[in-house]
Amino acid sequence: MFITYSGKTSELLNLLQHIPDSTPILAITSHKNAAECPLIRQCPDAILLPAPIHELEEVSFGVCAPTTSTTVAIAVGDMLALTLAESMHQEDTKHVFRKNHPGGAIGAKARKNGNVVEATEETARVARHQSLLSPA
Amino acid sequence: MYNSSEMEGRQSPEAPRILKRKRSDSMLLTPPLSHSDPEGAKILSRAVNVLSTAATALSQVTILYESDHIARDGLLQAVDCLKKVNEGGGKLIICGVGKSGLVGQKMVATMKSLGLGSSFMHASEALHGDLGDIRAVSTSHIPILTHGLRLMYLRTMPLCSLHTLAKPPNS
Repeated sequence: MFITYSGKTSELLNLLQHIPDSTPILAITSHKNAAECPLIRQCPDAILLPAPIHELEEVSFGVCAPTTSTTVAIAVGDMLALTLAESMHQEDTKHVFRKNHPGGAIGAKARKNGNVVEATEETARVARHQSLLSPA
Repeated sequence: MYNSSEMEGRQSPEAPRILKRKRSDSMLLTPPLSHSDPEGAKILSRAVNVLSTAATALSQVTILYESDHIARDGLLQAVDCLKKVNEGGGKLIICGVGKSGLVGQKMVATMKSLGLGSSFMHASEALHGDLGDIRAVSTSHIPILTHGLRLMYLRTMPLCSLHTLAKPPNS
């Protein structure tokens, strides 16, 4: 997956020719359709995730430092990550995250709440697993 | 420039005194900024404008993903693609430069914490060997666990057939 507001970052465009044709390509860019994005024009099968902004940063703030565009790109990335996690882990997402994040205040809070929640989640998980295996 | 009394203070090991010049209370040079004065109000207004611009942008991209078929199809295709990649043991490689690269690194961190395979590749490092991280993932073989907990692989079977295979033997 390429992240490029302009869709014409030369370092990324140069990479395309070196990526195997069978590799799926995704792109987070400012463009709302593939035809407008130079990077996707070079790989027509690429999956586009638009991350446009309503007003150029130079108009909003007088300087074209990436600010609004990076905020939107991060939000689109979070949307993809959380949606994918839910699709893959379903109700187990919280459990997966807790196991991966023992550190910091997040980890401490999870350990404090963990025992009660874990028992409930384990019951739900067993019930779901049994329903999948039962002859329907 | 030090006067002799200051030098004496520094040279005494038993009672090192740091002499400070007292400032007269009636001679504040610049009053601190506050929200009630015009300069402070102007700064705050421009500062809050940054937040409201971000809020507007996020609100508009929300509407886009609620109503635009290209955006919505893109998200569904991305989720479908990455799900197959993860199930095949692969990962998403995210690439960007500059601040987009930092956005990519944040995405990698979030994905890892959610148990999703992901790593960051810098565009320059890619050309110097990191391209080797891109490896084909077989999405045509779907692992399933049978009732007897034996691991089998299916070759691109339609999803409805999985229910048949999940039945216990001799049923």
